[in-house]
Amino acid sequence: MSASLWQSVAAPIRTLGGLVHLAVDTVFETVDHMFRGHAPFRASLFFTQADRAGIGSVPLVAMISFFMGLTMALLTGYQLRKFGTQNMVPGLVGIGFTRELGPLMTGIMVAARIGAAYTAELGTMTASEEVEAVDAMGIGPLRFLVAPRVLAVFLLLPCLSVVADLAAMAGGAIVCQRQFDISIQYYTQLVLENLVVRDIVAGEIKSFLFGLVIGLISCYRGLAVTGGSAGVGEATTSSVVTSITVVIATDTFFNIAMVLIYE
Amino acid sequence: MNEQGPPPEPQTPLVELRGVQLDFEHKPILHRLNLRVERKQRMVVMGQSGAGKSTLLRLILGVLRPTEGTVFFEGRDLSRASRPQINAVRRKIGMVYQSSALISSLSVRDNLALPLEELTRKRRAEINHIVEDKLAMVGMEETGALMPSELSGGMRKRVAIARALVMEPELLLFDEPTTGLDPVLAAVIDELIVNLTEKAHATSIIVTHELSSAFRTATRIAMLYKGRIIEEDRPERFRSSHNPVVEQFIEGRTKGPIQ
Repeated sequence: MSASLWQSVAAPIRTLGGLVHLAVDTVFETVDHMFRGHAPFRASLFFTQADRAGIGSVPLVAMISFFMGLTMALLTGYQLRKFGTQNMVPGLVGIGFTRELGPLMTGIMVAARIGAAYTAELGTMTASEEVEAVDAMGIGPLRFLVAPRVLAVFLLLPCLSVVADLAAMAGGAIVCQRQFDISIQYYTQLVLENLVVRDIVAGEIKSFLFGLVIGLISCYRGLAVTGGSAGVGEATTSSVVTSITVVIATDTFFNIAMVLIYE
Repeated sequence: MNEQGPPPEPQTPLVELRGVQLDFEHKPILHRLNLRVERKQRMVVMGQSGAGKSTLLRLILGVLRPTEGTVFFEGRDLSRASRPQINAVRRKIGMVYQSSALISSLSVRDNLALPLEELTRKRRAEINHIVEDKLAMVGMEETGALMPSELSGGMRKRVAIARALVMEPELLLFDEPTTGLDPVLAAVIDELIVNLTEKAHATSIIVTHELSSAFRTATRIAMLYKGRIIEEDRPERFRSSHNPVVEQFIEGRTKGPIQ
């Protein structure tokens, strides 16, 4: 009993240690390579990953956020109309998505779509000795394989959050116009009146954090694959579950910190 | 030890493993192993499957570190070297994996160009010239644009050999280079190994359990058994060894010390 309890405590600590180690080693390898007068990594590798993580995720993020914005406006609008306060719906959708749901839902979608792809790809490379071959050539697999992937998802997730916010507000605008007689112009005015810079900045900082967490966890799980194709499958599932859990936990701690600082 | 290190003494072997012990989860894989590989030798290390032959190559590459003992490359101790120092040594070593380990997302040409682009300041034209030259050396000049998934097992092995040669290494490591190939293709690969290492004036360490390949390629043969080198000699003398383990292995008998 005590051994299994220790296992359940030790595993997350070991993973956390591994993530810190991965981040430090990746930075060290990249900086060392730059000091030798080389580019940190191939620009083409970064742009390929940025295209996958960013541009490739736009349709999914926009579509799901649009429907969520639509649903949120519809459900809150019908309740608020009972009290004649349906004019609060644009502000609710705007603040709710910019500060909370936009970054969070984008983080979850990117963890599922890109995190899984990164883990499966690096896991397959690990299982087929490709990662070791890169290492054996003296190239530095963390700089070559991990750095462009983590940087791409770190930089692109805040952009996707903006896409999610705008798509959700568009969904909300359609509902408000059709169901609650709030014109698009008035809807926009109400959103802008309610939104404050702090909401936007908080949402964007969270997105950067989520991007970093997803990039590191998915690469870490991929590089730690053992046991061939079955190991790749297990690592991919574990990567998505861990990434989503850590994204939600990070969001909670960030919100608590914001409340403690500002309220 | 600085990154380049002092110039090696003329008598220093290229690779030396001295008293190397390697344990995995408290089980010894290699046990006080000693091995010297002189320059321009083609040292074949034979042994049963799971004897630790591939592990030996990973120790020389610095991918694994010994639990005890020392691994020397050109007289420099790799066991205590930093990561940049090990990377500097790896640039002098070409490794051919059993699985070939070509990067599946890169074309054949890009696989060969990868170490040159990442580790040297050569211009594109020069890199292209080296890549085409090495592909021609292994008879694969028509395959540059293909992806690894489009190649047969033998073709992949040849490309892997060409990739190992692009940095003009001093040492070539071959991990079971002919496993899974038909006898004719295996002979072709063996011939390539001999010709290319001689042409490149390189030293090679080949691990295999295939006798025909071993005797075709070796200038020295070592037998790895229970974590130690139990016999090491020229191929003709190795073949007539009276060591019961070597005799049993060469004759392929089921009865004897190897269980």
